[in-house]
Amino acid sequence: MSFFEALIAPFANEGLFVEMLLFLGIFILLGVSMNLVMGYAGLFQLGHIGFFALGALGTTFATHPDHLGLDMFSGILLGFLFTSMAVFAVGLPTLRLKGDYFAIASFGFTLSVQAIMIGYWATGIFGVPSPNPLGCDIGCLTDTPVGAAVGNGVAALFAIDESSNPARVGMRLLIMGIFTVSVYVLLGRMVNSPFGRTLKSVREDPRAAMSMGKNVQMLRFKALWISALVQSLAGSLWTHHARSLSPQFFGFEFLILTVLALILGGLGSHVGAMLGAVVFVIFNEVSKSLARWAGDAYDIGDLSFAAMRLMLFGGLFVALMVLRPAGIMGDREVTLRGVVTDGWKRLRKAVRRRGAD
Amino acid sequence: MVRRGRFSVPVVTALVFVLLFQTVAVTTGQSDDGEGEADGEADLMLRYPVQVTFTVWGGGRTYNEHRVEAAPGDDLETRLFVRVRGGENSMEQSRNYTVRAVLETGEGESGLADVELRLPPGESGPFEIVLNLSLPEELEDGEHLIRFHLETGAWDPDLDNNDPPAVPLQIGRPERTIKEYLFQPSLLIGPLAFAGLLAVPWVARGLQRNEHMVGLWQGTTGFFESWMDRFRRMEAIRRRRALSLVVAGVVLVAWASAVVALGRLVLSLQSVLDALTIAAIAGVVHLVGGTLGRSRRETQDLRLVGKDPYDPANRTRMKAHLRDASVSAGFTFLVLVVFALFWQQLAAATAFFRWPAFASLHIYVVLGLSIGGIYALIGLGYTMVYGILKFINFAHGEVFMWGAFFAWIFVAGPSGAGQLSSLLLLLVVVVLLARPLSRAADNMPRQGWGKWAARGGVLAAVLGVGWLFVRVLPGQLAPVTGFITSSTLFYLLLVLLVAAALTGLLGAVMEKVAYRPLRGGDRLAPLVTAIALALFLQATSQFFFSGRRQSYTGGDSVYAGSALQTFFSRDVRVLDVTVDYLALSVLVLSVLLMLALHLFVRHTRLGQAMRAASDDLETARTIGINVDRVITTTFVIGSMLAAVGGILFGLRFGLQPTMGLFMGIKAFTAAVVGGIGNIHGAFVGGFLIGMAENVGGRFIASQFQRVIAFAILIGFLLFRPQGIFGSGGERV
Repeated sequence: MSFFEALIAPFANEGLFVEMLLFLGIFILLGVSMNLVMGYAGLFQLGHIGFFALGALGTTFATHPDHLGLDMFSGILLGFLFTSMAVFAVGLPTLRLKGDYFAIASFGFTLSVQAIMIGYWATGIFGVPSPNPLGCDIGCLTDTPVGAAVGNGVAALFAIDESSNPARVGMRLLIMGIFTVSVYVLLGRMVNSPFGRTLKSVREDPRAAMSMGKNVQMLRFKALWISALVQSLAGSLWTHHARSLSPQFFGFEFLILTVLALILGGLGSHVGAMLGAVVFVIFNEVSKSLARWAGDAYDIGDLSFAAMRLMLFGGLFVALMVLRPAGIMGDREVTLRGVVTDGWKRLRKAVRRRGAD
Repeated sequence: MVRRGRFSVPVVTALVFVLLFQTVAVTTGQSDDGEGEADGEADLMLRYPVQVTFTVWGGGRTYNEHRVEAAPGDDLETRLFVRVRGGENSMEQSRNYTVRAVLETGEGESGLADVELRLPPGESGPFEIVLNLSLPEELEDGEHLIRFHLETGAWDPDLDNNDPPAVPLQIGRPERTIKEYLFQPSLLIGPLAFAGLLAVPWVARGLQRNEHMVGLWQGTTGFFESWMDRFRRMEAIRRRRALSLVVAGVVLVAWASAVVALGRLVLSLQSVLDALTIAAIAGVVHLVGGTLGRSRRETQDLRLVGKDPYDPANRTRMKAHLRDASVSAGFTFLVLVVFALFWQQLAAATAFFRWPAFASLHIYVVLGLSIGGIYALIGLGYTMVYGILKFINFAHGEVFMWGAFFAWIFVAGPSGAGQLSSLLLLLVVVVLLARPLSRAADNMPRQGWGKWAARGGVLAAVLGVGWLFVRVLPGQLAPVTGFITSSTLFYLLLVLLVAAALTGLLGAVMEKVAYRPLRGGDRLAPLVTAIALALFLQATSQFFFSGRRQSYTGGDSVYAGSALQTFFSRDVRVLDVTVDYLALSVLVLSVLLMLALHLFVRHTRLGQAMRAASDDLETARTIGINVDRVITTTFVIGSMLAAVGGILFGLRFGLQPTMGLFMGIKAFTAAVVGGIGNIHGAFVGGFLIGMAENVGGRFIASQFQRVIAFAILIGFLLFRPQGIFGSGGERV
């Protein structure tokens, strides 16, 4: 495998491509929900991986054949239950904390959830079923003619034809896509509603918002809760796709990568959070593939290229923060109309200036 | 009248009870710390004896500090954590051992279980082994032993110097008299150590004030006075609310612990009469405590209305006190009798009351102290940076990890001594060339293409020199290497210094590159940067040292088998607790470093500048203090202390790139507990966290042990964000 092949492998190799798409869904869900708390409500909240892990736990308990063996919706609901309990037990009191104290408390929450889960299931729980909306395996969806047609259609949309069962892959992508798109749209409406605007005003000046009769703590709590539920949903979906609950995953590295994806897009921009996730996931998968390639190509003993990848991310992140702390997008919203009108204005300006010369 | 003393009576009673029953609680038999040595066979070519450490766990209970109580025919699920240290070929070969559990009774020995243990190359554990021990159906009541043998391929019993670790197994109830339970001074270590520790900052403050022995007394009493003062100034309602909260908590905890301890006692008492005696003692204690408490209240009240409290004519309520106290004492007596009568049945029905936590509490206090010193050393860095910059240096945990790894490079890394000598040589060269170099830097072209050419030249020179000193010179420096390694102790001290210096440098660079550009801007930006920096530092160490667990004894370590290692692993028995010298040296070293820091902050110009910057950064800048230099110093000192902590941590637990995360959170908790920004507070907080997590880990399931610090953190942030010492104490 050459360098170039490794570079495009996440797009050329079908398995990697599907994995990338699924990761993309997870990162969009996480990014958009974190943005609600970090960008709009202005709380630096690092507990999202804890909620993600609780969602994963709920799904494992509800859908694993050794436990309850129910369908994926009850798994998601159980995850919501766990997450809500955690939000009430930990989130509600810690919301009183200020700035960096809140950040470190929520960071401690993530680490604690992971530590407890490692304490109980150090090696993980395997055998979680694939997404099973109807309670039976995904196969009973794709065996029906309609299901097969839909699955194959989605697979064809992404040009997946080498897989042994494209309908199945397509169905998995479809389920992830439905959740991602609907959450994206719902949250998009939410942040552009009065609720979102009030949140922004709370971020800019809590006292002013309070004097206008807004219950600041309640607004922050609502934002935290909503985002925690979305994160829990992401955890549920991820567990279905990974087919296992592995506490080692819900740790520092994942946490920081999600924050990086969000900062990359810019805090306080709904579109930016999504774009950040897209850019980051592509970058992440490409670098993973490159690391794998380099590990095979160069045998340098203990020097591991996977660690080098993280090193690179860490260094980039530091540089990003030092050079452009507000993220690439800042809190500018990008809309199609905005791009067009903005482009038009610029064009006119340029034309006028030339005319003046 | 009756309601006046309602707080003091239960508090005093409960406290006395806790002390009494802690003293009474069943002890633990001998505390074999489970260290066995086994010499290997010829074909493994062991240079050092293989050291095997067992830690035995079972059902959430640590076995090796107390006896296991079981009935014949019980199944005991036992977890062994096995750690094998040393062995020359251990890096290349995998090794096979058998772990065997043997039951030793009066009649003879019988094997209970065998488990194969296969160690991959380069791994030394700890490995978790689960042994299912099924006790025989017929076993006589009394004390037996379960012994754990580790057998290498060719086991030679003659080489087995120490006894393999063993756990006393108690079948039936032990026969002991009350007297044996009552007189165990060792069980007072816990409370005493706690009290002594709490006294440290106040004594220190007293010494600061007066600089002579009177200060000792004043410092100690001054603390209580200031508390009482604050309490008096509160409004009546807030005071009552605060008091009732505290009292409710204390009473709850105290009663719960008394009940558990009592349960253990009654379980082992031989007759109802003994139980009644205990209940009677409790009643009398309650009576005396209650009367005294009420009478103290009366004194206060008299003083408040301006009457002489010591005039007997004014003290009219004595009879009422006695009456009230005897009513509640009678109630205590009744409750305890009921407990005593039903306890046997209760205890038989549930395993809950065989909880051994109290029995070995003092052991965990000592363990907590020995790790607490490390938390304290790291916490100082957090607290100093916060004191000046008001920002949480999230990456400090990773700095701690790097400190440990810097030392590892020179102690057990590939050609460590060569690296160290070339580094020292570099230092000499830099010092000699400092003046010409800086002059050259002044004369560098500052614009045009010359600027870039000069920069490229500098970069090339740095890379070339770096390559020379890292790759080429270490192999060529045999004479220097021979000289500095001729005394292991000297060499290790040198390593300690160099590692601390390098870590300090890391701290300074970190501050300069990542934090300084963001200073004065948004408050959250440095925090995010710090988190990113933590990732970077962690990944970098993973890159250089691989994700595997390293140890100071692995590889061609200078430390392994040295006099220092022998010294550190020597055990000392303090009354009932066995600790090794390493634990003691953590304690001693942290106290010494704290003292040094204290003197530095108090008596040097730079230290005074630090205090000024901590009070008000802007004013300090206005009066001409070089704030940048002060901040850099803070980072350097904090990082150096963390490096010492890291080395001490690595000596006991080994090194891993991920070890900084949780240690960072715990040390940060220590800083918060002591009052962030307060160096004495962080120091005491470290010990408190160490104890809390070790003692607390016994009471809750062991899975939650790592979370205790987090719970304390949240609790403190919510209810007492200024820490236990408030705004007092030395601030930096």
